[in-house]
Amino acid sequence: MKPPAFDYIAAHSLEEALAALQEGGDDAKPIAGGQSLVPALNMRLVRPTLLVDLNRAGLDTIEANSAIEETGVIRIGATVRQAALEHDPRTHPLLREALPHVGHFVTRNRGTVGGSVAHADGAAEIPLCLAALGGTVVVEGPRGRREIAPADFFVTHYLTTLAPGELVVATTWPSPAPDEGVAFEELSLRAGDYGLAMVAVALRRVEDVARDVRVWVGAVTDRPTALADVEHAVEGVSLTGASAHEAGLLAAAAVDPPGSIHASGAYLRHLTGTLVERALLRAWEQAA
Amino acid sequence: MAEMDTASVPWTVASGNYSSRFSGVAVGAVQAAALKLRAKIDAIRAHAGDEGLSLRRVAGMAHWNPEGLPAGEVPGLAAVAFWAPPTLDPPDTDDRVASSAAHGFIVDICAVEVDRETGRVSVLDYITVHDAGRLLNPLLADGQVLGGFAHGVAAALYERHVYDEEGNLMTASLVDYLAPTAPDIPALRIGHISSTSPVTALGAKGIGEGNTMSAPVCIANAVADAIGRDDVELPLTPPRVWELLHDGGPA
Repeated sequence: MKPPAFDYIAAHSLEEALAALQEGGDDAKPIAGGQSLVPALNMRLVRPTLLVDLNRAGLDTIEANSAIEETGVIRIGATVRQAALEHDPRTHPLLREALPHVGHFVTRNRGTVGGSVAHADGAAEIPLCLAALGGTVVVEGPRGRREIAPADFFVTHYLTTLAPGELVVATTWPSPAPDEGVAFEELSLRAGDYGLAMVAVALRRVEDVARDVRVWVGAVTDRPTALADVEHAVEGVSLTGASAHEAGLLAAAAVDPPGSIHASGAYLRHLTGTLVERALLRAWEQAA
Repeated sequence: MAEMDTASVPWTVASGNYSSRFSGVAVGAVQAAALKLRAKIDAIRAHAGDEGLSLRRVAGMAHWNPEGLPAGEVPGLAAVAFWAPPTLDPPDTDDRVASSAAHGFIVDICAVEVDRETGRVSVLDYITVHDAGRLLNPLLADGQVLGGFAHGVAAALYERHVYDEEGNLMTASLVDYLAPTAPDIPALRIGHISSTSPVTALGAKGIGEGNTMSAPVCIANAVADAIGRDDVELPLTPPRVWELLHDGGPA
């Protein structure tokens, strides 16, 4: 199908983009890579009357200069392509591990980091990594700039706390901590499909016990979700096959995904536990 | 060669792509027609008294100067031929027909690994050996094998139709109907043994779509062996293999 008719504005600055979005009101939508929006337009699942193109709005820089590095943060502009991060040494190792799971090779050439975050698909890898690493979403709008923690940004599938007229302009990512190990695990039915379950783990190995353990899951939940029970169980523990397996059982008990024509809820729970177990062990080994 | 078209000629078993009839049957007619044409070209050259006469000149004579042709030759360079192998009979009175002139053979061997926790099947190695008689075009033959194999892997590990209780098709889009793409198809090692057929014109048998039939069986048998079950059903998607491993309690 073809999309419904819409007006189009190519914004040449952030200010232009914000002004156009405000003027367009509820019927305006920003577009950057278009890898989710354009199919939705063509299937007429969304019918915006105005598209504001962000590709020329100057939001495509990665900042990791000394001033920012002092705080241990990398700021990734909203329209930076997913493919650009795949091979950038400044990309956090967890995100670099997750990026090959994001869509396909060709969609990553156009798809943007900010678009993935703003779209907020519950099975999207980039929001999960951002949440697991404790990054932030930077938005600008009529009320100025806000920096939002992922837990306060992602509400449910395709829904965020972005206010009318607000735009995701960047995400910030902490630099890898000392002694840190990370792992990303996902199982999808075909290469490039949405995962049935995905897991992001980050931990530090300090005096041979796990510290600052972060265990987050997606796809089996409607947004990136921390498994607090698992994190507590692993905190201060020296990870072994047995303790990782125990943590996996806790993870399986902590999620309750609905089944589909492809997989039962029981399978998805077990899968979540298996992926948590494997991610914990890999992160632990990596941190050694 | 004329395209088969049921708008201009009646349907026959040669109208479509059945029973690998191209290399086994159609090629026989092509060869017979080509031999007729060669004899005609030779006769024209002999008549002109120049055995080295270029094909271009021969064709020109046949088309533009029919008077210069040997007695009894019709104008133009064209030939019509009919050919049938001895193993093919016409349809019987009940309209039944055995349409294969000769049969190709396949042996497939594969090694798979099953992840007991996720149910994922990985094809570690896959070897297919074909006896398609004389390979008329080895590159095309390998293309047939690779395409048939991709279809076979799809049937073994990915594709199925799902209906709900009211009979609605739940796999009506390529989001839910899991047609695999290139990265999902395992590497394939191909071998050929060419024992020529005594009944086809050039000794060729069929090869089309062969692995579409063999790959699902080969992969299913390997998975059945790996998990110790003889009741596997295709496709063997990770959730379905996991159910096999865990029905009646975790294995």
